[in-house]
Amino acid sequence: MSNLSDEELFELRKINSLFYRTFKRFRSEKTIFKISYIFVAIYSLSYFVYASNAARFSIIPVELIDIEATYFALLRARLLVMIAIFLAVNFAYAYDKFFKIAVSCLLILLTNYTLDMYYIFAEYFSVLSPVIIILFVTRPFIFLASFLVLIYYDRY
Amino acid sequence: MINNYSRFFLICLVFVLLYGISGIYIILQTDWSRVINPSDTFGYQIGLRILTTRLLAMIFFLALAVFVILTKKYMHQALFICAIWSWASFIDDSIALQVNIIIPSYTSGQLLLMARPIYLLAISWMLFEEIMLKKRY
Repeated sequence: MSNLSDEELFELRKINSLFYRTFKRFRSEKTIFKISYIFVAIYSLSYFVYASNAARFSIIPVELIDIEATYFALLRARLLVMIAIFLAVNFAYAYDKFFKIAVSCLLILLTNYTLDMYYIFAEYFSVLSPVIIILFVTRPFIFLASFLVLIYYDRY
Repeated sequence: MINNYSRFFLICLVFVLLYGISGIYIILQTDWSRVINPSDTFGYQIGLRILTTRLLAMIFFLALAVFVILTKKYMHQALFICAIWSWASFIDDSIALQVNIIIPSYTSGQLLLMARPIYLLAISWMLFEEIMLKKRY
């Protein structure tokens, strides 16, 4: 039996909680890391919420049904990969393990997909959702933010 | 540098290099119009660009491998980039692009695609061993 009161036990549980520890660690990080990480978090959240609008992308010659199906399959696959990697980055930070590996994976995948999008697919898309346009235009900033997160991360 | 790695790592390295060289050779030797499935201009352009990017990526990673072997530096980073890039391309190709756009019509191309999972396992093992080695020293 512990001699602690209910309030003390509650405080102790709060201090030991993952959220509290993560938040405390985050507050002690450098400002540049905080700003970059918040940008990555907001971007990943918007991506998670609005990327379902990828199904509203339309390919200009709409009569090409096979190609359209291929594009949708490709976007769906990439969407799932990106959601998985964004979740991995946040979990890795919370548990303080494999964080640099997760951010490096994010950077490499972003490079791959961005090169593909600009070189192969971009000119054939007409985009309907304004949020997707904003996410597309701010893509260079997510590169910069991820890079800064990688550099300024202090492991405990 | 070589003495630090296991024999299996070296076998994987040889396999990965051979796969890269044969991949470049096969893509360059192939008549691309027979591999790209859509006959219209739109689909053909996409297929052409996909094959070009894959070829450029292979050449870049082979050049990177030669650089790493000669300088004996940045093995960890090079393997990491190569493995993640290869997995991402494999997911794209197997889910979307091989269904309608790039369909291998030659035996060499089919063999190349059949050996791709082995290549992925080999490079993933190399990355794993490299990470373990880095942790040890």
